[in-house]
Amino acid sequence: MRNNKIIVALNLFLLIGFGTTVFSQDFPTKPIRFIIPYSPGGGNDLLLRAIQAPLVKALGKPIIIENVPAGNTKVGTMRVFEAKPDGYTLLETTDSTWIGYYYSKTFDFKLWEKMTPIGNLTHEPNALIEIRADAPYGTWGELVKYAKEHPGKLTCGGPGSGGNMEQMFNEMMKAGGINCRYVPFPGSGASKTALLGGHIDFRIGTAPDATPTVKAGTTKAIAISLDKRYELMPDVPSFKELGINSVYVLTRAVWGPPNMPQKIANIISKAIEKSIKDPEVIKLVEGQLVFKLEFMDGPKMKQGLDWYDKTFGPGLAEAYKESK
Amino acid sequence: MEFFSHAGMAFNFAVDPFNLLLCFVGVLIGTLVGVLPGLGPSATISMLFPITLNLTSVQAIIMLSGIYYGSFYGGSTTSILVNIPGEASSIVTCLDGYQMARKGRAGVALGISAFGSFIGGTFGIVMMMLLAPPLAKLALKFGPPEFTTLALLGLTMVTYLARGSMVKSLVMACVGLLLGFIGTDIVTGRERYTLGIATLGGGLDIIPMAMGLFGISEVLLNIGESSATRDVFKTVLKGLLPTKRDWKDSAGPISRGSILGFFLGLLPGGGGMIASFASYAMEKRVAQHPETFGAGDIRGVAGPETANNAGGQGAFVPLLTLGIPCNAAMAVLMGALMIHGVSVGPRLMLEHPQLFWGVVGSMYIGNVMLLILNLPLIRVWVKILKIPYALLAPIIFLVCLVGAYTGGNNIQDIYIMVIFGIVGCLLKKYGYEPAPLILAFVLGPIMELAFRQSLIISNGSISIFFMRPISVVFVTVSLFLLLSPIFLALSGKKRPGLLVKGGEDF
Repeated sequence: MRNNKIIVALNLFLLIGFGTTVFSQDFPTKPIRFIIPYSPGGGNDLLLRAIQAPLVKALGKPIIIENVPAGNTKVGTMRVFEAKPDGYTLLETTDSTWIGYYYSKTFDFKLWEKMTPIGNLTHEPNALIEIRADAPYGTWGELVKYAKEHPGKLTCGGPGSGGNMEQMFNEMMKAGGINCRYVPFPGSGASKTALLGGHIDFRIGTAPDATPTVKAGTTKAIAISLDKRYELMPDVPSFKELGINSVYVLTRAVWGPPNMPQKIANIISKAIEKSIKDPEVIKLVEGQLVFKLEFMDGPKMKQGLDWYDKTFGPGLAEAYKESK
Repeated sequence: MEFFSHAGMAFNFAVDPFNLLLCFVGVLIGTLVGVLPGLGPSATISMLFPITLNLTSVQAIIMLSGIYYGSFYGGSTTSILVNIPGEASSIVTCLDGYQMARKGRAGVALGISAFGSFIGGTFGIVMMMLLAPPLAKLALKFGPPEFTTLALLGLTMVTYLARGSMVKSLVMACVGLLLGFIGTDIVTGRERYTLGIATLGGGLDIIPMAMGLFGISEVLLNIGESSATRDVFKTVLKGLLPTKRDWKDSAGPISRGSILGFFLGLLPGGGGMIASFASYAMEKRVAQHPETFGAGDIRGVAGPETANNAGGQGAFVPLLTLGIPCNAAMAVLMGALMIHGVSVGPRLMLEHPQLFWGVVGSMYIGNVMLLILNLPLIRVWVKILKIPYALLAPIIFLVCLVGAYTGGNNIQDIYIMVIFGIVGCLLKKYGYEPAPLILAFVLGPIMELAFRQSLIISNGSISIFFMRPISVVFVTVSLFLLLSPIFLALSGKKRPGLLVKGGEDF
């Protein structure tokens, strides 16, 4: 609990710093706790901390950010699922990750259909393909050609196997008609080092972890998992352009426990909308974290997820069955 | 000389009074975070970085990195005083540091930790200043085959971490390897040995485990003994600072620890913890009389405490030259820099020289501050040992409970700590030591994954380990370490490191 007290104290300090006024309304009357089921320093953590100040201002109460990475997001997610739906315990997470858990049988029911959707924060490509700048190929087409000339030679690094990553890698191979070996790494830093050191030939990365070296010119992004070009990396061809038959988008959003009163959800939703339209936040999140900010309210989020479930559910189920 | 103009820039920037204040605040918080078991630097940095948004990027990084390297100074405090590792990088300090405290030499142990930390940290900064880009290239040479063989080398040293029976320490190492399997296997994406318990899906966390095995078990053992036989902390404190003799003993471990720690810190997944284990094993291996290790030998404190600071500094090299965070705290720092509008990557040193050199300068000053801050604190810390054990025991227990929770905001970590505390208490009663278990737990998963990655890359051919120079060196040294006792035994000589103490063996 000491941890929380420190956070409260700091947030109080923030509040004074930003000179907020407390609104006279029923909600919120005390600090709101945001649980992030990932470690400090990850995308969700950075995103929420980047919007923390304007969000506190819009809500009129401090927010407490709690990282609960245990059990590969399951512990934190379940804590919010089981929390009192009073609006003081919320979840900020990457939707597709924990939705994929239904298909991997981590959860035996569709958790997201019961949770209260509150507000979407960002969307971004789930993955991009990154190569070294000095590689003998500079585009996806050239990589495919090279792989065909040197069968069984190329290796691809990326996150742990299973689920949609594996599905995506398989579809990449199918689209190119090539056969490369997939080397899983624990975290993006490890696969990036292996790429730069020449231990693997290309890697599946994300926009934020590829950006530092892409900007510096030591690596190159050659494909991005979207159906059109990504606004924040317009030079990188999309999967659709390249004939890879898959679109993978990550969304990061805020959720409440099941059966949360709509009135409370709306108050939080409005505060989120206001804070992610703050020009400073846009500059930080889009310019530095390379996440595209996009607000969606609860009903829209639900539509998006239903679409996701229908489109990718069968493929995910298949991928998990195969890897068993 | 370019070097001197850079060094000038580094200090010009760092001696600005406001920057000095930020640096001090950072290292002070870092020391406290280090002292508190459980709460680690990465969680603290991520909590505090929103308040640095009003500062410039250089000022923010000066303060936040101060928290990181400051924590290495504080981490040894609880290891030495009450056998609870304050940070993962101070686990190995429990072995000899706590024994020194029991012999009334807590002040000396804390003193040599502070000096060793200072020397290791400063060595790391100098290396970073002079050689950051070529060192980063060296780190890139480490791919899966090199990690496999490096972990193999580490595992051959597992028995050096125990005092008693070799058979028992090998048993403990096997248990550690098995515990390391718990969690999600990233090659197949399947959970292993999680028994359907959600928390175990991500594997056991080393912090609550080590707090249980070392700290809680010690409290339980001490409570179990009658107060008449209990010698804990009763001895009069002999001296607060290392003597000439202590310095003579520590000179070797400190210099070797600086070099070894720094190089291990450069590698992905590196930082302080593995560096400290490696240093301990190496000191015991090269020592003339290794039998005093584990019984309060100052070399077993000086080496690891130096190595973890040097390693902590080493971890900055891949971050600042390549834009790769090689541990959790570096990931948070990188995020903080990104939020401040600084693109961390290969061009950082060219595009933001004032940032790189400003941080380097602040680290020099920060390390001096930490030394000045920590030496007088020794007087305060050793007073804790004067608290009657009947009062101290529940306080230790409470601090551990809070610490285990704050590490991951997860109540189940408390259960894990208590379970390992009870298990650890029984193990110690029967002469099984926890250190080999911890080392195997750390190295096992690294080796397993790197081995499988290597075989995927080589298409199943084991020759990949013998084709690459660095890997060949590690394999050769491992074989030498494993086989040399056999040859020595055959030639009639016995090596003291593997002598089994009478009465404890099967």
